[in-house]
Amino acid sequence: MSPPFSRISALAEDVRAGRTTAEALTRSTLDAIDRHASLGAYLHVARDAALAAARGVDARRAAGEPLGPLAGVPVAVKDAFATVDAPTTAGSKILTRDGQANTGWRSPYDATAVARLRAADAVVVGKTNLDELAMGSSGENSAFGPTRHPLDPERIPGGSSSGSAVAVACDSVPLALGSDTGGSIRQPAGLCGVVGLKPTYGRISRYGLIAYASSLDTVGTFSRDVRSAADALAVLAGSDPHDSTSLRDRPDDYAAACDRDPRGLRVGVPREYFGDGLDVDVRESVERAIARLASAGCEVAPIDLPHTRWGVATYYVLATAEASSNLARLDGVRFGLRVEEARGGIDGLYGRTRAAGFGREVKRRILLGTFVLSSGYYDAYYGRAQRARAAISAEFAGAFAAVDVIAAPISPMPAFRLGEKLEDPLAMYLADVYTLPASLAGLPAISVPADPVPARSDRPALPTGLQLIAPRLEEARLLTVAAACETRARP
Amino acid sequence: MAIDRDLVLHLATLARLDLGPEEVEGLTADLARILGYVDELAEVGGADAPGDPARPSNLRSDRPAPGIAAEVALAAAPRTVLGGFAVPGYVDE
Repeated sequence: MSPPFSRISALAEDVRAGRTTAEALTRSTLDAIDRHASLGAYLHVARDAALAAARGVDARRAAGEPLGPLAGVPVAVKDAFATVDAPTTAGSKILTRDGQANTGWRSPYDATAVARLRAADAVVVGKTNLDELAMGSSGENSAFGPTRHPLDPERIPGGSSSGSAVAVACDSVPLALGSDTGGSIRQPAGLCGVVGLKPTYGRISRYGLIAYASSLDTVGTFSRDVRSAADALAVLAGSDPHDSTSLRDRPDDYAAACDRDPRGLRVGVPREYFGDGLDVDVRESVERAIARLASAGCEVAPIDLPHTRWGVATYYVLATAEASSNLARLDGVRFGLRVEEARGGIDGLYGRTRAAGFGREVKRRILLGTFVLSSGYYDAYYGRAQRARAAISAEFAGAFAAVDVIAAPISPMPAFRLGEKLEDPLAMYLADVYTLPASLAGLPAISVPADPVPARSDRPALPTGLQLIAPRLEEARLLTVAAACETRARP
Repeated sequence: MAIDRDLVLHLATLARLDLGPEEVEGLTADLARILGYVDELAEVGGADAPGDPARPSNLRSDRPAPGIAAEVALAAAPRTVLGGFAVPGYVDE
């Protein structure tokens, strides 16, 4: 699967210079989407709207008007973002009129991240599949069918931004929008062999992203290369009056950061991320990627992050608590599904609509969140998890006094088989162990392809990735190290 | 923490989820297992739950600004009546 797409800023330059057209790029993308339809990466292909937008970009060029930094670049959007020209379902029946994806909620506004992409003259080609309401780590929880791994359709691509990862991995688009609450960009990026960037919490506005766990939800991207991630971040980052948690801090020059010399940067390797449960082949790939950073001139040293062991429990208390509150708005009154019977009043409407509209994993998390917030259990679960979160953040802050970035695995194993963990939610949660701590601390982190794990009797050769984590607001440093790793990985 | 069927039914009432008997059974087992694991947070010490000082606050000025028009908001509603969202009667008939 050699990438036909170059860096996204170079593609845009080709459009501006007239070497290609936005329409040609969009048509080629729509063809690729059709070719890979069996992977289930898209819930909605915005064929007409995309072609109209592309022709608009080409017409403005023909009229001599200046074009934006992503002129004509085809972009796929995780279906958790509101879009005016395509239905939004978040992978859930509850946002549809009748349980079908094409009757999804028609938003009267674009999410800020989508609006910024459009303002940069990118072309939104469709909405990608996801675990329902962004809850899941395998891409199997969508109400509209699973997303499949591009190298082995009997395997999972990871989740929850499963369709966005697959859309980039099978080269239907050079850029896709995702969201990462506990690893939902980094993990599928790692399992599919693409770059997944989760910036600092608040770096990109969450306005128009359907809320799962608001203190953790972070908008980010999938791309083929690190430099495209930098180009996209430059467009997406910045404060937004519609999101009071968006940061006012000035974005850095992310493109320049990719070309900075990584020599002398200190890379910490946490021992706790290489313990029991890490697949031996994944471990070797990650260790080789870290060795390449050393040969690029980084100073690699072991560190300790013992509170890592609290990550899974802390996340599944706090995220579900926030979800149980956020999802209360999905009640059959203002949008989507409505299941009404003659009797039962408004409580009957709520109860029946939500029972019919939510899938098993969402119900599980709503009940868990309701439990940890309920009278008598709040202090023992929610209060304790808040303290654990503060301890995890403080531990990262201490580690960053001694190192510039942290390098670790993303997922304990390569892509597993569809259905393998579906009946064991705890096993599924435990596979998030390496991505949750950076989410809880709100830190920027990136997934960069490492060497694939070799084929064995029970699995083909599969992608794996290296996770890099930087201090808050230090996306530029993250990109410097990620680009160095990528340069070394591709001789 | 013992998780039983009655507790799950109580949580489902609080969460406005009408669960079928089979769902209740499965979710009771799931919650028992997950909360059994979460109990390892018992080792977390400290008395107060501090807020995260790194969390930013970017409040916009408290001035009225145009929002989404009522008819636009109502356009996505499953049922409307007299320019509002329609809901069943509050008191059962």
